[in-house]
Amino acid sequence: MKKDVRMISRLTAMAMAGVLALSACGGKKAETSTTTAKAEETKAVGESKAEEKAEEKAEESGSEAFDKLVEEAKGQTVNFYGWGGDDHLNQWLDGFYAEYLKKNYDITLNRVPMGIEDILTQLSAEKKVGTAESDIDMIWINGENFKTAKENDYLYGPFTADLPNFKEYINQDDPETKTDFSYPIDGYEAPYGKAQLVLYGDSKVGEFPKNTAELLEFAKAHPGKITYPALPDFTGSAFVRNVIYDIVGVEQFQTVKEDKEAVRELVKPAMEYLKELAPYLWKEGKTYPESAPTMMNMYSDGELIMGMSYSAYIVANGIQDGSFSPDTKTFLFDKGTIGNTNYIAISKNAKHRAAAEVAINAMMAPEVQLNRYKTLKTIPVLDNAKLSKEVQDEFSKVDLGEGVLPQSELLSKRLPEMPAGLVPIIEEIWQEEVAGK
Amino acid sequence: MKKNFSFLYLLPQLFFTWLFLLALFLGLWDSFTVEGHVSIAHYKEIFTRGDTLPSIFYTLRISFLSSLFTLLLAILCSFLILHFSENWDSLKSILQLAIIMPHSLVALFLLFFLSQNGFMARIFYALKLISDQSAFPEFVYDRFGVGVILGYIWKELPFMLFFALPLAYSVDGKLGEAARTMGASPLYSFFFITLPLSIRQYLAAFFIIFSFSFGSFDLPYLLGNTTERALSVLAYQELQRGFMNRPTALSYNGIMLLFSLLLSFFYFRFLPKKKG
Repeated sequence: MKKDVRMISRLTAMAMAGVLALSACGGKKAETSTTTAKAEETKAVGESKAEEKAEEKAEESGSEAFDKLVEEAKGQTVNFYGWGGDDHLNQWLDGFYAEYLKKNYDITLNRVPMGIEDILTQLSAEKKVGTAESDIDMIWINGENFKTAKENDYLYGPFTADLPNFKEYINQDDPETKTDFSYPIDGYEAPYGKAQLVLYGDSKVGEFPKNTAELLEFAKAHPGKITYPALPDFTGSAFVRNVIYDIVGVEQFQTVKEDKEAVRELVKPAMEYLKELAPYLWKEGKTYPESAPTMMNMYSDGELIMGMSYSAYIVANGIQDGSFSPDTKTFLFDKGTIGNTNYIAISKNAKHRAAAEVAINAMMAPEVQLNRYKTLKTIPVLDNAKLSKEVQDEFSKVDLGEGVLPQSELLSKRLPEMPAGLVPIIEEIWQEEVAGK
Repeated sequence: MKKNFSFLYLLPQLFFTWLFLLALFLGLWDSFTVEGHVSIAHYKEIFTRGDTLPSIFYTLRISFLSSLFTLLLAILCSFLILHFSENWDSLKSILQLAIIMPHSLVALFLLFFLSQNGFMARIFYALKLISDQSAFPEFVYDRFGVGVILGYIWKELPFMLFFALPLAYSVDGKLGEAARTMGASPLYSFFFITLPLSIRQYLAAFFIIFSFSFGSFDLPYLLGNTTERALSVLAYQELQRGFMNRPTALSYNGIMLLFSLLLSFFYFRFLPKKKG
């Protein structure tokens, strides 16, 4: 009897450990197989159109140099390194994008989820050791990290001029094409998707605030039900920068010296505002949630009535998968919210450089951006004016879902990012002046 | 012949230890260099910041208190287990299950149960024991670190029991049993015979969990406060500021390493010697 109990409890413990381990590894595969089924459906609809367009493109993408790259890339596997915390994005990459690459270019996509700090650490170590070939091909990157990578010579470039889709469909005069957080790109990274900070809230509560003054009144009316993620979380940081823009202005930050005291002087009114706001926030501003997902969970639970996110269409996705109540709506400040572009870069010693260039080019293809827009509601990077009427119509026909704002409204109320170097300075100032006061 | 073979068996362990020490050394080296030459500029930098010293005290507080309470609870639990249960093997499996649970999962469970929006708060509110959910006492996200301490106790108690009970069982089975046949009460035989003879295991586990919780990240990050942050959280946030801040982040790690070394020193110096 004793031996049986022992056996059973041992087997149970092993089984549970096995399940835990497998669910960690196997989860991705399981998701990919369901995505494949979904991708098949959406593909069947747009398949004929996509094929036509791909053929047209193959003819147009003229330049011999690019054709040679396509030849070289055939049969290669490309490693795409980037943050893996967005499940929907991961599914789309492993599904539609991977199949698009395989079908049109015979390139196998290998998505490697890794935080950007770890990616930079690996690149730095490889540079120190003098590695000739890196496993890292494509890197999802932007902002301060791009500046670091470019200045430390971790990246290959310039390459965007070699990509036909970049020349054809991207607005060359858009400041977000030429600079990343006000730092010159010089062709070292290509646009991947656009993000914009949006605010969302429960519409049953009443009118949403349109600026910081109204936000203060809103918070006084609903004490303890509003908060923002603690800096240096990416989203919380963007929210504070947005408050600064609303109170202090935008242009000054393009030229201010990257010196802590100069910046402190400039953002003083905004810090005063945040200190004034604090007592009406969640937990009276004594603490803030450590990250945006935690804040989002609190909103879903009903603990908060408002939140913010860099994904412009998060409300649509949230309502669809049931995490947000159907009364949730997106809103912006009248003066606008911060928007940025995120990019894909190529590592300096990428093993599969040809495949990386072809894959990045493919990401800027209208049908890929359109499918991403349809599935993930990510703001496309393409210049609408450069698209054919047909494609423009396809984009405007996309059903964005409930509770979101149309692209035109988002883009009309879009503010530029500050120079990357100011971001950590502002985060430090917030920590000193506002947190816990 | 026999000696050579023993050395071979040790090779895998030596390899991993070497790898681990190498990583530690490289990290420490990075924290002591500025643009190529040795300097303590990074350490000076973090000590001039207002939040480093409070953070050290906060981290010490949560790791010491959680380890101390774990020790006291483990001793109490050991007594109860030894007195009421004979079977080590099924208990061992339960403890193993508790040990393999990841810290982040424990954080999630604590949030689920003890946050002001959590299970207990909702029950209390439903039973009209509190007027509003926010009247539920603050167990998580508070300045003192109650939630973090509870989380550590939840995780480290099974570990300490797993570590120390085998010896306690064997001592109890022989000498403790002998004492009881001579008329000692179970309480007396545990606290005056079994415990003193097996205290070394408990204290060893105490040092291990003290050192571990000082450097641990997930619990203080997920359950902690915005102003009172543990050293590991400060290191993480430093790295988030930008990759070039890595040496500064590593200097926080240097402080944690120094603490571990200090603790090891005390461990080897003051731990009661093994008896026979």
